[in-house]
Amino acid sequence: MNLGTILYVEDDENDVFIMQYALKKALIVHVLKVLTDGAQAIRYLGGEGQFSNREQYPMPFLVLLDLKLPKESGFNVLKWIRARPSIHTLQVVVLSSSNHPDDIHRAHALGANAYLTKPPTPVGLIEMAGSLKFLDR
Amino acid sequence: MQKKRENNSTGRVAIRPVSQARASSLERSASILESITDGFHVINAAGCFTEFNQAARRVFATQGLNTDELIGKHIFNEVFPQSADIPARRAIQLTLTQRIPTDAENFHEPSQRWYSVQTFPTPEGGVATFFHDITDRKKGETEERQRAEQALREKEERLRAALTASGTGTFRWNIQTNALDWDESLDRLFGLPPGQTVRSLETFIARVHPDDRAGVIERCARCAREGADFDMEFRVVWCDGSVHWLDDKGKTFFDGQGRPLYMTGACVEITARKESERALREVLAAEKAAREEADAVKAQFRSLFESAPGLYLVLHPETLKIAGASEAYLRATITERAQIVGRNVFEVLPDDPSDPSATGVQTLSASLERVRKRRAEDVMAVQRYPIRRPEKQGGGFEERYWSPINSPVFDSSGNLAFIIHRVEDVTEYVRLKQQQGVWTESSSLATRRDQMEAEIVVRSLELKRAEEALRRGAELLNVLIDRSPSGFYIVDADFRISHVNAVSRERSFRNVSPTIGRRFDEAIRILWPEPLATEIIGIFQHTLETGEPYKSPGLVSERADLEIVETYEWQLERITMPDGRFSVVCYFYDTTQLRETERELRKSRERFDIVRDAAQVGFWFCDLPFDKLIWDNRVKEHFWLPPESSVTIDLFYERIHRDDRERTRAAIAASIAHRTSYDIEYRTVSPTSGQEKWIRAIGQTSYCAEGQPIRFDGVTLDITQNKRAEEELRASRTELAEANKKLTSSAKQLESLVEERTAKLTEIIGELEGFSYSITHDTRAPLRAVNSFSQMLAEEYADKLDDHGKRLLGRIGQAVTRMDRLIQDVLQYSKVLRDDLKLEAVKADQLVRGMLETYTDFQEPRATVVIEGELPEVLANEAALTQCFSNILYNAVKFVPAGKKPCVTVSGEVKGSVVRFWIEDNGIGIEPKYLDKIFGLFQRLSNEYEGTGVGLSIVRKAVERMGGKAGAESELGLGSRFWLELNQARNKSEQR
Repeated sequence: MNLGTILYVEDDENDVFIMQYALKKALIVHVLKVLTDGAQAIRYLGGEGQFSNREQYPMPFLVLLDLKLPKESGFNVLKWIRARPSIHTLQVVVLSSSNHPDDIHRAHALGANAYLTKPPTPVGLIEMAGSLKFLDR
Repeated sequence: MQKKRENNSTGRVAIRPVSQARASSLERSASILESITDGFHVINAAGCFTEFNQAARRVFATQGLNTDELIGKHIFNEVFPQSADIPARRAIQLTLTQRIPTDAENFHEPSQRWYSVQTFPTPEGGVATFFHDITDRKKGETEERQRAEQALREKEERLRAALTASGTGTFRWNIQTNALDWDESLDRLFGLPPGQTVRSLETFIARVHPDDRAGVIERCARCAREGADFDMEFRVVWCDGSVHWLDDKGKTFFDGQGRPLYMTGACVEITARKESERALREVLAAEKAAREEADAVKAQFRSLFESAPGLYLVLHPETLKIAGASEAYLRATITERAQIVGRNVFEVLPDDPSDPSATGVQTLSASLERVRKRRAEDVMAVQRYPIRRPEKQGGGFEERYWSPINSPVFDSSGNLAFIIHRVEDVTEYVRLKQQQGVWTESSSLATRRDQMEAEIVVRSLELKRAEEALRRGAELLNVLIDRSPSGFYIVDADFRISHVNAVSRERSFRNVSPTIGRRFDEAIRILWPEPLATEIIGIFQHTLETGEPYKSPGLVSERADLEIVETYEWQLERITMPDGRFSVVCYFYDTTQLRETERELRKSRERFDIVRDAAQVGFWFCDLPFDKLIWDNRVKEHFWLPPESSVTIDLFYERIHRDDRERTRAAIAASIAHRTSYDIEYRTVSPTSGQEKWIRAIGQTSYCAEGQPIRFDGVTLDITQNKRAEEELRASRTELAEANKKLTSSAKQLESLVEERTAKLTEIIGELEGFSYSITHDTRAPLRAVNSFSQMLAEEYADKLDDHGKRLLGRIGQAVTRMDRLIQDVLQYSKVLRDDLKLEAVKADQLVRGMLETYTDFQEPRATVVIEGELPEVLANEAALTQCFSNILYNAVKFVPAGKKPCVTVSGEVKGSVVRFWIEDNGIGIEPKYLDKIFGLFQRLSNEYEGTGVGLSIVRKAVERMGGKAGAESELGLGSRFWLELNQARNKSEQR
């Protein structure tokens, strides 16, 4: 069964670890590809360089995006996705430790499908999966 | 997904304070404002105080104001009441309403202190005010100004005293308003009673002589129009009808744009000078007329001589050169005057070279020699003397016969002055005789007799002619003497008056009748009193006897025969009369008139000198091209020269300051070349002391009829005092400008300081933002990880851990959670401090009800929260107000004794322009002495309840920033009543 790929853009190893744990607890078993900066994410999604190999680097059906990232910020990556015709419908969930209304508002305005406050909990992830309806597939 | 309620967890119990270092970082922004020496306070958009720094608190305290009480109170109600229209109030008002920064200096009356006050609009719509005490500086400025004013006043008084003493009037004419005012001296000069007339331009114009009025008005108009200086001499008519000359000089002053602003000047009476000038002009004219008359007489005399019918040559006795010739002679001898005058008579009248028997030259020479020797007339035999015919008349010689007489002319000392060579052309007569055969060349007896006869005839003829000539000459002489403007009479050897001319007859001897033939001494005694008469007689006798001429000094005496004083100048000369006897000629000139005028002139000159001396004016006269310079003592004084020194043009330039020399040279050259008046200011330098004087020189060039410059005359004035005053004025102006500049620069410095500080503040705020962000994202990340990992540990190893291990893990989780909350609360607090709180009408009722519906903590069964009535609308920031209510409500339901159900009542009341909300609980209550403390940051009264000690700090800060206040009333164990006071949203509701 091809479970599809979730792309997680996160520079904090702890957060990656916690995410992996939470996904496991929530029984979300999709392949999790982790990238550690925004520029890399853009190259991955654009299929540039090594990422043109979609066997090895498949297009994700969901992007989990931290906001504070090296090189290109999460907002920039989100903007880039929404401006790119072939992938602009890609589901993007913004993940941030900030619960500042400005950040939340901005994420939605730029087209985020959901906004999760860190740390991710299994309950939170299941709720998210339900709202995005990807577990049903 | 986590609920939003996490946001509102602020105010929950925190057990431990954050680390010291972090706390101090957070307070950095506040501490900067705290530490600056300027006072600093902030009011919100509603005009209520929200913050004071330490310096401000100190200053307000010295004025008896408690800043803690002022927080939330309206600045204009508490500190600057409406009645006090002072700069600080206006500045704050301006910034509050116009949103512009201001800079003002404010004098605080009660404390007698000066403050510099700068206001800046804050992003929240309020006003930040920086101020500091500048009393010392102000005091210094005031003293300085008073000193300068005092000095100026003294100077003015001195000047006024000097002006009054000199009779100089001063005036000041405001060109903008046309107001003219002058002093009492000028009143006097206008012939007005001092200080009793309304002074105006009209009054002034009315005093001006009608003939000068148009010129004065025109000049005034020009001054106003072009800013020209006023410099004019004009007449004024006094009330008694007398006319006075005034010299009025005004200087125009301009505003910064170069527009004429006002004129101030001085005025002196110059009537005396004007009269002197007029008298001088008249005397000069009279002198000139006399000279012209004398010249005319001389010319007449010459022309009379020249046109006399006789044939005369005038010869110098020694050289026998021709000194003059009559027209008749020239005609008869076919010569022109220019050809003969100055030449030897024999050159002019040579012998005929074609006639070897010619003896003319020899005969003439012998006769002249006889005249010289005998000092008597010599009649020559008839001469055949051909004359040279001019080339144009065919040349050659024309045969002529002449009957010459040579007579001596003596000068006053009896010396032979001239020889008159008079000839009669007897050619016709001789020819006639020859035709009758009488006149032959043969030398027979008959011929000799005939010749003798002819001689006799000629002689008698000659005698007749001589008599006639003599008579004509006497007539001529009489005419000449009679017509002479000088008096003239002759006293003969017998000391009798032999001749008198018209002037003598009509003036001097008018009471002596008869005159001619009268004894001179007798006549003179009629005219003059003794001893003068005897003296005069003695002088006449002396001249008659010795031939010594006499020239009198001016004779002034009262006539013996008339009751008048006459003035004479007279000269005596001895002459030889035709009869060979001596006589004395007296020439006199009645100078009574001249003397009178001279005296008048001298008097007016003396008067003028007095004026001149008073005015310190020096006079100088130069003949061009500067070969002769005449300076009076004053000018010499101006040039550091002693009175006895002589002056040259080089000395003139040498004494002028090196830097002024070329300018002066150019000005003189320009004046001479362009006929412009010369008016220049230069310095003269003492060669010994190096001292300097400022001299103003005014002059003018005179030109001869041909247009050549001949004289360059003028005056000098010592203007050192004026210059010094000017310089002092300039210096004080410069000082003032300096001071202004200093002020400006210090203002600029302040400005830049404020800019610098603002920039620093902005930077700090930026840093703070970054700091907050890093706390949010970076600091909290590891905390989160610790929390997550401890949870994971608890979950994964639940079966392997004993209860103690689980409790420890639980503690880890709790601690981390609190840490995270604390961080978030502090962030919240700092946000409240710096966020831009836009105030608007907020429906508090809706807001609180919504909150109660949203959060289960405020709902049954956990708690009973009721709203009494409808909460009023207030002027607030919705988010901040939500935060305030949320924090207080959470506290209200939190601090209840265990097992007790929280019961909270929310109400609102309107008090004037403010609204007060009450949140009343049934909680544990607070000891009154701690009521104020609980609003402080990190202040907690109990660790039985979780919380960070930040919640109420946020409430107070937020309310203050919205222009309100927050507080509480409580008794321990009896519940608490918290209140929030905010401005009513009156305007908005009225609009609706």
